[in-house]
Amino acid sequence: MSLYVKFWGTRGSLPTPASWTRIHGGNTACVEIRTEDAIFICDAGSGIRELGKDIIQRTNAPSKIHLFLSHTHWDHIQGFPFFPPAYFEDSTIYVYGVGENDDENYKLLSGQMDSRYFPVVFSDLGAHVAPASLDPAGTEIDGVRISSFELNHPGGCHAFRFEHKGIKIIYASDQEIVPTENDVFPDSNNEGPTRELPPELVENCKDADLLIMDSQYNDEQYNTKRGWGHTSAFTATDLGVVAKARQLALFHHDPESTDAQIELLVSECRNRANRMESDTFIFAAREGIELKYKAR
Amino acid sequence: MPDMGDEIITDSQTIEMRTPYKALPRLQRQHFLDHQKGEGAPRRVSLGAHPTVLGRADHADIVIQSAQASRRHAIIHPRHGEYQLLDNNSRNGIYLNEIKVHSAILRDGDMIQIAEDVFIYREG
Repeated sequence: MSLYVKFWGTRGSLPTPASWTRIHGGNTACVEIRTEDAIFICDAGSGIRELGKDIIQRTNAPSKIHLFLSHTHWDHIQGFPFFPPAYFEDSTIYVYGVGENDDENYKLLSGQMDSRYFPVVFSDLGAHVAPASLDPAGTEIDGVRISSFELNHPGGCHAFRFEHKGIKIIYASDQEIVPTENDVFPDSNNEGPTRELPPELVENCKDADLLIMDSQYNDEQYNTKRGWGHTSAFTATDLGVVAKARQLALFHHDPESTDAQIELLVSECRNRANRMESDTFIFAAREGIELKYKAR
Repeated sequence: MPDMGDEIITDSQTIEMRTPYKALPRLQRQHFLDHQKGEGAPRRVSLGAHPTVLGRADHADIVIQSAQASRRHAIIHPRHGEYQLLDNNSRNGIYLNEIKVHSAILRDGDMIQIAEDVFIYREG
């Protein structure tokens, strides 16, 4: 049994279709994590539309879909009204909240399909869409253990950890790690030591096979957008290094970042990790890429 | 070969086109793999309307002469005017721009490594 991770939307804040985003993609956050038996979706940004089109063409696709919303800011829910399985009667879509009887995500997702915003109202969807609860400490769903931890983002946000037969995948979008006064920040020459990181965050990300991490800004961009809920890629790199993640996917690309700028950022982050003698492999999340993790 | 428009040179040296240059529909434009490293390189292989198999087998569309390559190692499928690279359950995997991938939608300039062989994907 293997676990597959596919990026369907990697952009933050706003869909950004442009010639200069063609490589890494312009769709907002959506990541699919699947086994042969189950489909888990992290966030319903505009990337979920292409995912939905793909699901309905698959042979033997599971009829149950598990949707985990990190939070309900627009770029994480805006694709749901265009998610084709939502219109099929034989689909069941569980919308998870974190904690017992937490149906807040379900309510906010349905609220965006009020007729004042969208012509098809939520109650007219063909699929059975239902709220479901995730125990933050962990819930077993179709052979995959899923747990959650809180992230620092305006309005609140959750990361999700997927564990299956020794594989650990962490989805941590929309997270601001605030530099401390002891950090070299901005680290314009990329010479500083690893930054101080919240110990519980490091523990939560420890030994991940793949850490999908908010890396919206470089240090200079972060300086002008403090408090907006996103992290500098250098800080994200330090988290991957300190937590000993095997792979770090820089995620939630800024809508102003061009493909060339993202590639440059990856190069700088790799230099940083190499300087720290880390084995963490760093890459930029890119639409259409699927990774496979074999059970241990 | 597309038809060239008829070119007329007027007295004022301005160029007028009697008929416009006929562009090929985007789906018919040729995309390529530039084989840059490995036995048979350098060479350019056109990607067509049918899947292209890369592997060690003699009947593969692109034969990779390496013991590290599986017989039918990878397949490149045409899909919505683009090409999708898919690992065909190979033993040693595929690297796209150094990332080990199971599948990917290819973009101009992508570097694909299978065993010791290296290819660059080019959009026409």
